[in-house]
Amino acid sequence: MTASGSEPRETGSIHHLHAHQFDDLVPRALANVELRGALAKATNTIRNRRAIALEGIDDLQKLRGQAKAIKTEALAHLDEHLETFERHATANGIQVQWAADAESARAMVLKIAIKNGTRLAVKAKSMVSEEIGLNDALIDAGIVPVETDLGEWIVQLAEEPPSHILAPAIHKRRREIRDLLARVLGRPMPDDAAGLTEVARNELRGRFAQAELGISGANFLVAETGSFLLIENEGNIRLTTSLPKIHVAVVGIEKIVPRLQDLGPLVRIITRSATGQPISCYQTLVTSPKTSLEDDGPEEIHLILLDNGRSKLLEDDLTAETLRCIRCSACLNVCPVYRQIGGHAYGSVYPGPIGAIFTPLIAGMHAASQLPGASSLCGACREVCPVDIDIPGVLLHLRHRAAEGDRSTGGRPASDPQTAEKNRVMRRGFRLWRWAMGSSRRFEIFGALGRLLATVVGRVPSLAKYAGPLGGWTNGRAVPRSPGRSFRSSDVARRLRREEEDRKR
Amino acid sequence: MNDDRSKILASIRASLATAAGVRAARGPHGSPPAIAAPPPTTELTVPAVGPKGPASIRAVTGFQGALDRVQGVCHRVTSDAGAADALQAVIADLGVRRVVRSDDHLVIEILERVIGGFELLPPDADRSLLLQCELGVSRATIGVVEYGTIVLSSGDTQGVKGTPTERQRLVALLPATHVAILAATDLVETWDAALTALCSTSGDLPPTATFATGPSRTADIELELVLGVHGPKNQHVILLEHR
Repeated sequence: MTASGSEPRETGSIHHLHAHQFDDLVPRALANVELRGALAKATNTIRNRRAIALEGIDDLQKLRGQAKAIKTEALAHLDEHLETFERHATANGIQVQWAADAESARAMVLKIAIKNGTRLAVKAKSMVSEEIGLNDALIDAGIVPVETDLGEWIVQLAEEPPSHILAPAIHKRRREIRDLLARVLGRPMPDDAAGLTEVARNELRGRFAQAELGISGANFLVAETGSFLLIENEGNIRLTTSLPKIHVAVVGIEKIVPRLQDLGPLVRIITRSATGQPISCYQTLVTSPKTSLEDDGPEEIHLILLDNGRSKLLEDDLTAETLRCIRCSACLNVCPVYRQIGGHAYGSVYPGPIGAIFTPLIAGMHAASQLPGASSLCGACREVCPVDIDIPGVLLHLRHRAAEGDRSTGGRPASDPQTAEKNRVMRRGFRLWRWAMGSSRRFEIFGALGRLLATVVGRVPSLAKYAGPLGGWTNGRAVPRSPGRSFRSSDVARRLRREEEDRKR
Repeated sequence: MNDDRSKILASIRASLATAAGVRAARGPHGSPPAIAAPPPTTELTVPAVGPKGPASIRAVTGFQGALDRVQGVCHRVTSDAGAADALQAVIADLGVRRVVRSDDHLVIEILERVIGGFELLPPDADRSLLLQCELGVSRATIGVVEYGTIVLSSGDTQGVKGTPTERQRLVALLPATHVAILAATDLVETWDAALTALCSTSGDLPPTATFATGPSRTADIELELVLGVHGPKNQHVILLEHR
């Protein structure tokens, strides 16, 4: 299971990716009234909280600029910062490893787990862990992974993937959670959120104490000191990194910042953007394992630096912006598409606008080329992004990559078969359109044909299902009433033409 | 493993070179690069933390107000005896029977003044006993005025990496109630200043430093705020204005 010997890969991989089913997943999500109710309520709430939290900052644009500059600088010299980080972290006693892909990272975690006789591993919520499918790998090796973030624990018990980067159980209503816990734990559950939270605290306490291994991600790696920062509200990350003897952090290489002082602006903006709090409850800066037998804390800390296709994004200044992301999820909450379809419909552990660009960039266009289409390009995502990622720009860039190809694809279109078919039909349609618009005679003929069709379908709406390639447009829309005759043949148009001729004379 | 290291670094360098090539080919009239030139690198600035003097009343009230906004409780006291009284009141109010303390000397001194009625455990007590404690008392090394944050550092009681830290990691984490003892002279204005103070006092960062702001919380169920998840449900800070 080691990466050595395997061929260098063009792209990374994302666990359980089924973004190619996007067209099937969306109608299912839209038909789920319960889901849409939960989503509307939740995203509105977070959005408002964020807006209020940011009102308090006089110099929001300055802070955004700082955050962006820090991440930009880090990425411009990513190789050097990673080497600096490795040097300092190693000197501090942290064991640093590099994983080129998901398989390699999984193998490293398993090796550490097995070496220490792990039967139970407690986990802090981590997107990278979802990305590489760590839980399934642990289970296959006979190790029980227990998610300890409340929302993540709930979706783990429900055997579902998280549907939101920050609030994994955002799609679930309270009574759904109550019934789920009652079923899994085999006893009646309280009705209120506080009661259910208490149940989670008591259930998980014992797990923290038993676990041989704690697994987390990290929000930021500090090159200058070899430390990493963990941000949370619940205290489960503190427990995960305090009680077990061994702590493993799996972290994307883009999480690096050059200096310790860079954490200030980033901490200031990340929680406001994420949950609307001025600051999260806990930020834990880990610099080394405990230094003597008597101390508290883990005896060993392992840090795995994961590439999994990220370094490839640096080839292009636009796609490189994606690596600035600090996973605050503000773009999900404002996206008109996410707010309707929710996270699961994206078929990727990274949903929403950032997921629509990050997923195909990491896993390859052939696996997720429909996702960049899941946007109205309204730009709300960019407006709220704390590090000013040009998400609409990258979306367009990826649509172009799917339809025409670019340097990275060798000038050939790169997409999954569904997107390729859609693009073929669209290209044919626009070719026809261009020809029809080419002369006034053809324009009139096509106009008359269109009016005729609209009249017929207007009378017999069931005919719309035979729209063929136009089905994507006609499904879910009523055919507008035909005007009977064209604008060009109306009295107004005739008078305008006469006036135009008079002026010319 | 080593193989992956060189593979990743080579891939990063190749990608950065490609991007630089495209940027150069585009020339000065091309579209502006998405990744702009990095800002000038400043040396690690560790602004000297001024000599500790008496904290201003503004800082004290500011800290108190900020902690109050995040559902924490700040007890302002002007003597060690006052601190003991405040602690006694918290213990009595909650009907706490089992208390665990850190090994900070000030914490021990204050607890000595508290009249009993509860079982007091040291931080190296058996873990199964620690899990049953309802209240933990430890020292906060720094307080942040802007957010009501306290800084808890631990993992190095012998001072291998700098100033010795107290043993408090589980004391401040496991019990439902955490009481932190904070000297007013340890207040700093901002989160950033706390970070700076953390590495300038010891010259080296402690193995672990947690910046804690109020009781633990979640909003994972229908975004309804619930206080007290895995971390403490009640966060008290006894602020010693005389120290």
